[in-house]
Amino acid sequence: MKSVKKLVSIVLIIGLVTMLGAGCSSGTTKKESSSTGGLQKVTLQLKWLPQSQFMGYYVAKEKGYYEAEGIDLEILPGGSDIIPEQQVSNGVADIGVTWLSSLMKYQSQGWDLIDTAQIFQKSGMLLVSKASTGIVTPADLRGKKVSSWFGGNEYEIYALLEANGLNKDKDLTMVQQDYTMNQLINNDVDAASAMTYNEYGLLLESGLKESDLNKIDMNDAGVAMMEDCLFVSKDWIADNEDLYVRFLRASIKGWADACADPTAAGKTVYNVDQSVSLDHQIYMANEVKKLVEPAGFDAAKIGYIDMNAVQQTADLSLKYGLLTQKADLSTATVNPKYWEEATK
Amino acid sequence: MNSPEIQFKNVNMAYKGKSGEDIVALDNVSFDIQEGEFISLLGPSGCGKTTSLRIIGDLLQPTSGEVLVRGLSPREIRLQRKYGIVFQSPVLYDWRTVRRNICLPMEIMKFSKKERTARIDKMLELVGLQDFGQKYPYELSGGMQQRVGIARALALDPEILLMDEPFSALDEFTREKLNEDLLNIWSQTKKTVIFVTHNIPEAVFLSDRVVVLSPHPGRVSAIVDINLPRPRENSVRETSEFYDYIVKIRGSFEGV
Amino acid sequence: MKEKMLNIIWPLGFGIAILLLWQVGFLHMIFGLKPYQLPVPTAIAITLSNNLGKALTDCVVTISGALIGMAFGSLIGFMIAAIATFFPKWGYGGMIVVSAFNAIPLVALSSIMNLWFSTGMSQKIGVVTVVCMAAMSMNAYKGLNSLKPFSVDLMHTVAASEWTIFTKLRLPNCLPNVFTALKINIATAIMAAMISEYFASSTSGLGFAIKDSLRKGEMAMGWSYIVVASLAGVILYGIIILVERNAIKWHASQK
Ligand SMILES: Nc1ncnc2c1ncn2[C@@H]1O[C@H](COP(=O)(O)OP(=O)(O)OP(=O)(O)O)[C@@H](O)[C@H]1O
Ligand SMILES: [Mg+2]
Repeated sequence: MKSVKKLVSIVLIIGLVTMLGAGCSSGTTKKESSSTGGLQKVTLQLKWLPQSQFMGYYVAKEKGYYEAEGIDLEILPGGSDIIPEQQVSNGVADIGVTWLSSLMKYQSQGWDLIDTAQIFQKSGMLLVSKASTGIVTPADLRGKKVSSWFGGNEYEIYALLEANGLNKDKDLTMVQQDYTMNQLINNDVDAASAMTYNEYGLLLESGLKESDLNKIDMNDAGVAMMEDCLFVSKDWIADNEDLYVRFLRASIKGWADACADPTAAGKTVYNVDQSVSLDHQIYMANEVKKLVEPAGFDAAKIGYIDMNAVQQTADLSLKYGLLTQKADLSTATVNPKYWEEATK
Repeated sequence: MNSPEIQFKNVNMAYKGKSGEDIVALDNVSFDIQEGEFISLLGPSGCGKTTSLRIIGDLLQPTSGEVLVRGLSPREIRLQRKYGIVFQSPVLYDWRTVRRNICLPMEIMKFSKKERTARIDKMLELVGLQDFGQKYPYELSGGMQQRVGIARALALDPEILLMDEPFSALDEFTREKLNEDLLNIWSQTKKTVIFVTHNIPEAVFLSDRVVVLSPHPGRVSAIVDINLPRPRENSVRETSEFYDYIVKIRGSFEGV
Repeated sequence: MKEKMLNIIWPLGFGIAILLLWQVGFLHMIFGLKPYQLPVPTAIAITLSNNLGKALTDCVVTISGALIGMAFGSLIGFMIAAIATFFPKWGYGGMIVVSAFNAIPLVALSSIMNLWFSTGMSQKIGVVTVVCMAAMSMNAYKGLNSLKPFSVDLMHTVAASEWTIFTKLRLPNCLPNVFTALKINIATAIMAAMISEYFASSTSGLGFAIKDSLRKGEMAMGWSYIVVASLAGVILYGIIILVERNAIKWHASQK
């Protein structure tokens, strides 16, 4: 009866490997903020690879704003299987950058994480198609193949579809998108998700012209959900309130500098990570600036949490299935007081 | 006398050792075998009995010398399917039952179904395995497996039967019984039998002639005619002639 | 008989004990996990029963891709082994190429296949096909060629053709090895199918569902898919063992 043992081991192996594959195997290791050379060590978990999307933190670090606040900041790059909410929750990082909609999803499932500052005031999400496909309005998506990265990034698209009377399961085909834009370029999909500051730029760099492309902007379509925000865990902030305010102050200063000179900010990021071209980093810096300081936004209020936008994100999330119950928007989940303290 | 059925002329056989050196198994070996003769190749372990048998059966090519079977090469005779071989080990196919193992060569030679069944039944009875036809080899003892191998070769009723120590794995009783049975079959069909053994009484009891081989390197040290009357029964083993032949053959070893 | 029972009871008891410790929070204590990080078995079961329809649909997608790919891969692997048996010089090169394929990381393979095929199903079948070739060709080659001493001589004695030797000797001789390869491949195939779904241009299948739920922090949902995947793996493995039992009763491994 060797086979029974084999059966058991197969179950274990499939279970374990899948767990590892999904990157959820790290145990909790609560980390006290330790001091090195008089500086307090803080780790920041990015949502994605080092790029101008996060230029504020890199500029602040390069210019010594964190050191000036007594902080030794370590910036952890993200990746497709690095989930900031999980990293912060199990103590690998102290502070995380994630999309607000994603954070709400975690909060609704009992994760004790607090939204503290909203860096991007607008949604950077586009649905891009080749002009030749003839997709101009959301209604034109009927019968088409549309791609998203999923994992929580699909809900603005769902909202867009349903707000325009399209059933995401029946009226079109949704497929998973990889981290290039090849599926759209090769016509494997009709419309693809693209961030204004990244994938849209990749399309232009691939030789397509603005006139070759149609885009549907989530902000214009009224289905924008808030993206890059800063969050911490309840446990960590309880012990590190002052430290966190200092972190915010330095970060906001960095963001202000970066938005004032996106070209320099792009170079700063490029110096940290050369995996994409300098031109792309600078392109990204310019686009990100438009989300951090949209036209008419008071530059002194970088990081401000607009409760209306938060409410819209929560409402859309509930309506289109990201959340199964109404989001709790008390100070246990969204707390602007650290930002208010930092910008005083 | 007709020309011999099998001629073994100045045959040399050298195997290649691991480091490329020659291992001489047969050194200038010559003997003839007449049609319908029962001949034994006798000698101690390593003297080249199996090697000689394999050369006749075209399972091995000699380094030099000539082997003729009915004036043709062993290969031609093999392709004419004139041989039946009993190997030193049973060589049964694990996935076939006893019956189907016996059946295999007949299957390949396209015997009719009826013929196959009849012969299998007969052979199972001959080797005393009537009740084991549906068993798989792993369910048999070593001696039983060997008997299946014998039954498989005999079932073909081959014109030339090559047997490599077929009874050495068997107990004395079974061996003597099968010796008698073998002689019975042979006396009915009078096919040529080349029988390898290292058992002197067995060789004397069965054979018309015994080719005595000596080892390192394998040479023919004597060829002894056995002029005991046929049909032979077990009682012949108690005669003084029988005993004399044993003494004589043993002496030919000591002469080496 | 008693020993047989014990051999079932022990692992079963062990499994149940683990489930109990998991349910009452002992595992969470050891590993320092919160329930939202590692949901308890009952939560997983409830999630699964609420979501059974979709879970089964995804399971069918993954398993059918895995099985079709495994069939292709095993067939190709076997054919390479057979060719290597008949034409050693040619075939051996093929075997080396296949084992080189086997060294390609699944992740890279999935991405490559994503470029070659535009649907998730064909990409999945492509990936699984490639990963199933090596184990089959290696094992089958071994089975086709490691024959008992003199068993080919027996065939030569009756002047059997190479084809007869193949069908009556090599083929049955390699059956145990083929089953070994199938047992390796069924696990590999399910795993590869799921991992390929991580990257596939599609949204169906257990792999995508697991990845998607775990990224959204829907741990109970993710685990319910893991349970479905494991069950499917165990059932398929069990089926292969049953077929093997009947197909190679005569083999030492079956006693
Ligand atoms: N395949 C081989 N490679 C190398 N040497 C071999 C090989 N087969 C046999 N020999 C050598 O040839 C000699 C004769 O071997 P053979 O098998 O013919 O002996 P035998 O008389 O049948 O012995 P036994 O009674 O033990 O079966 C031996 O010395 C043996 O070491
Ligand atoms: Mg021998």
